[in-house]
Amino acid sequence: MNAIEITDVHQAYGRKRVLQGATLRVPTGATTVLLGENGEGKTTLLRLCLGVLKPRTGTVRVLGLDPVRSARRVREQVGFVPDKPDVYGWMTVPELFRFLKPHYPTWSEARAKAIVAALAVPTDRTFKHMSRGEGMKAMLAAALAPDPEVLLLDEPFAGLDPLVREEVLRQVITAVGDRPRTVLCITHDLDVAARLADRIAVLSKGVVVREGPASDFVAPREEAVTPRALREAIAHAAGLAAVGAR
Amino acid sequence: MDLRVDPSLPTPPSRQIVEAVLDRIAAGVVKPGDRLPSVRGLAAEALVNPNTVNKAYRDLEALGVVEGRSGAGVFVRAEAPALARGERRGATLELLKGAIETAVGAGHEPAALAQRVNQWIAEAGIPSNGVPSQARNHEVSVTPRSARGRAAKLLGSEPGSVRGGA
Amino acid sequence: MRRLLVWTWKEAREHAARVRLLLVSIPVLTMLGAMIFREELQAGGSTGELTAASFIAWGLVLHALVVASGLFASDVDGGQPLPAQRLPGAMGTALGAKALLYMSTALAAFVVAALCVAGALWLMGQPERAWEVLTPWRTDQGEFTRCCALEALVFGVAVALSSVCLRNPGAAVALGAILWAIPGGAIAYACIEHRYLFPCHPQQLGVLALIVLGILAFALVLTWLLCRRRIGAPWRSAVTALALCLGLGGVGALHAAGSVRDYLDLQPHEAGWRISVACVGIDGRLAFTQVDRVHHAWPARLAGHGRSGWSSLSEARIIDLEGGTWRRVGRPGAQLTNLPVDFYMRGYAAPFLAARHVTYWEQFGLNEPAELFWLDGRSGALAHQHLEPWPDDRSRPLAQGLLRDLSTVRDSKGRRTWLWDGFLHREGSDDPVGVPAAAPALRAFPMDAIPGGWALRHRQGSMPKTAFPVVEAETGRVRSVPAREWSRAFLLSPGVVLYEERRPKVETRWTVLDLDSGRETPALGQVHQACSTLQDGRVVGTREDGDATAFVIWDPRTGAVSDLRSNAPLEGSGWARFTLPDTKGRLIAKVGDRREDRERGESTLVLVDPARVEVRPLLKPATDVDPYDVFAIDDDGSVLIVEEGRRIARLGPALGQRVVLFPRDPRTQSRAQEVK
Repeated sequence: MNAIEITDVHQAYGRKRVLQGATLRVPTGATTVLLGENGEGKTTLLRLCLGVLKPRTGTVRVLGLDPVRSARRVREQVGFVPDKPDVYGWMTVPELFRFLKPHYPTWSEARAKAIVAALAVPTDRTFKHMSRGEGMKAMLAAALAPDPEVLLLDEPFAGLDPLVREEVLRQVITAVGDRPRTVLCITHDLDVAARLADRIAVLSKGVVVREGPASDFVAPREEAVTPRALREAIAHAAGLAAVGAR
Repeated sequence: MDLRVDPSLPTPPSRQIVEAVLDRIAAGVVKPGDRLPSVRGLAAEALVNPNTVNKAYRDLEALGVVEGRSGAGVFVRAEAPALARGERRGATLELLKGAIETAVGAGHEPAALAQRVNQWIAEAGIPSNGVPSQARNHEVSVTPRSARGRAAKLLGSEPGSVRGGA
Repeated sequence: MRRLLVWTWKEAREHAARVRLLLVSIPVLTMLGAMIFREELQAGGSTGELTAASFIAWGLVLHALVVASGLFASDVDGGQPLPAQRLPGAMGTALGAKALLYMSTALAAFVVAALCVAGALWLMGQPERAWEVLTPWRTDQGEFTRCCALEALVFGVAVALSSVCLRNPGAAVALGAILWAIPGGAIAYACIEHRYLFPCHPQQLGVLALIVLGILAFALVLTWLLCRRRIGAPWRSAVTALALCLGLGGVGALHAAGSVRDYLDLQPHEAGWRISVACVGIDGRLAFTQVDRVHHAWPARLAGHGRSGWSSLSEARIIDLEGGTWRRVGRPGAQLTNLPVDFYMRGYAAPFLAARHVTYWEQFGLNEPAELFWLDGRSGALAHQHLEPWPDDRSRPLAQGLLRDLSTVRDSKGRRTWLWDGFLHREGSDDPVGVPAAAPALRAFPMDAIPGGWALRHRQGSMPKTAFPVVEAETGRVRSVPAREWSRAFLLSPGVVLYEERRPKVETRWTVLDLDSGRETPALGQVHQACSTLQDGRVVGTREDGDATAFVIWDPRTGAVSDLRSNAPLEGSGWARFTLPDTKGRLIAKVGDRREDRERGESTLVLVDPARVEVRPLLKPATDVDPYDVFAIDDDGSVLIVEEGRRIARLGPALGQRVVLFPRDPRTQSRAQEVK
């Protein structure tokens, strides 16, 4: 059973076409990492899962529901961590939690507090005055507090110093370990990808060129899925895409 | 357990975990009857996907080193040290072979090399219980890379690396 | 529900600083404005009320500038999904919370502004007006306040709608102003240039503002909801919403424009108009009429007035009696008057008075002067126009000529006389007689012509209840008649008055009073009522003659009674209702006017012509005719009459002769003739 099914989706922002027939299957309970070059396609896929965007053509199903039609039900079960904190700068973390709580029926204050403590998120400063890492951690705590079925991460590790990166990664892994949870993570950090992925998908030129278990992505004559192997896979996929682009 | 996984290595992460656990069992750090860390705990510590840890534990179970008791966790079996050492013996022998080939290639005299090796073996002090004295006192970080490094130290290719009274 | 609470809390926190700024600046700016415009604020009547209302409305404008412009800024798409878009169920809740905040702060702004204005008025020493401002229901002040506040609210919603698309509050205000200007400007233009479309009631302006408000609010909600699916394109959503609203509004506007055009282009066969007053030009070819209209349908209906009752909005129209066509004169709202007087109360044309000129006046805007127009009675063309106050050099002789033409009062030499500007004027004489010291009071109100002079009917100031002044046409003296105002009085000769004493539940009593000696003589005898007097002091009246009414001439000196001949029996009980006489002494009477007569279905209009000593019936007996429906008497004894407010017909000279002059039957090109 696939937690997320994206089928032949086209999307564009004005003239710029970012998705041109992308298909992606994210099985339930597995951690899928989405790789690819810079561009807006990957983030767009996440937005489609949230129901914030409606695909021009194609279908999107999250947990069996249409995220546009059943937006509320989908969003209650999907945690989203944006690449930058997208909440109001004047809020502190406790205020943000107070704000978010009524939106999620499964929100747990205890869980939120525990994650905040585990990540050492400052509770007395507003988001405007927090560093990037602190903001990121707060966003992660906010996304995990309602114990979502699906966790979407949009470049959570970008621009973090190594210590914070490790804390965030640890928290994500803990969340995955707690219970079966579907994770779709966009990242450029290939080390994280190698550590985290059960499955890997590569997006290039608006199409998912390659998708499969992480073990498929080993370099020839090697056993392990290394960052280098992933880098080669991405380059190869880009080449494929250039050739086979519609 | 202070375990680190390095994904840039050619060894798959699950295998890295298996080897690390085997090394600890072989060195007596982890004794029979001990409970291994929970999957999620080890995954969080090593920063790997819990499925990786799951696979490692399954592999360890297949080797007969551990057994899973439902609900209680994964426990080290009595036969584990012997099995572990058996497993690691083969691997460490491979490593030693590789290290010696490297040393010989670097220009060490074979006879002096052999003497050095014997000396270190004596120092390593294998007691009757089969657990090396050194290993008893401090953690052994048994990633392949550090193993290679140790071997290099043993063979004197790194200055200031002599321990104890060598 | 908790979601709404938490969103409201968030909005309140977010906008707290702005609201504080608003609530502080309103009192400061109101006080400043009150000082600068203190005269206008203190002025009485509509000026003061409008000024106060606009000051209160400015509180809402400030609200729009400070709060509405930033209402959506934090939730406006900056290129990535924002909390309102990606949180479950947040779009609707966000809108609800923002609406709550908007409405509560707008209400607060309104109340604070009202309190400040009331305070300013109280400090200026007008506590009653301060109280009026605070209790605006059902007073004129309240209506002004409502309208101004609604207009300001429309501006606020327009700004809020713009702030959905624009983060920058200044830009939102600018766009909001443009959005508001289109309907607002249209309404303002209509109000100023075509006020007749909104006949007198500011309530109907409120209705229009409410409609525009509704459309903009609908566009706002639609834009916000459409934004849900379109990141990076709030503009497209706004354009879609506005296009939809323009479509809806455009259909409505087109329909309204069409109905306005139909309203202005009135056709005789349409319903919704009636002639209330008519008079005829000097040679009888043109009829000058005041046509009442029904309220313009759509704003009136929406404001709850509907089609019940005739509006005070009327038009002046000239009807060509020979051609059977009509045209409007001046703008809608023009008032015909044949009494060019320099007081503020104006009346309509007196009957049967064909003058060389016909006048009408127009006034639009609250404090603008009225403009008077002089039309040529023969052609209907414009002869002269001027603004109040007047008269100017050109209009002075015109006014004298008009008063002479319209005069029904002659002196003993048969000269027409009239009162103007405190003087008694006589036809052909350059020597007006000054009317004495009581005159200023007499000038203030219209004086009713009575046989032999004029009477002041509207009691004012120190006038006693049981007496009213009259002015003698012969001498210009002011005398006092010892009867209640509105009692009939006839000046038989200088110093001698015949008057009726009306007493409740008692038959009226007629008395001849010598004002110099004070001698009273009971009058009339068998004559029931006096209608008019002749040049020589004899009185025209009615008496009962079996089952009929007879018109008689009674001599007050001898008491002799002689009949006027009639060429048909006049059934009735001896009583009649009659008009004032025209310049030639002729009058129209409705015979059989008592209730019992009407129940029998017997009353008729007759033309009483004492000079020819005859009474001429005009109609076969009918029940609902009014003698004042007749507006012109021709020399051959035929009359022009307004039938049921819809037709103009010529009756006579013979009984049963009737020709409908207007409107003509469109099926036949020639005059429609009906001979009963």
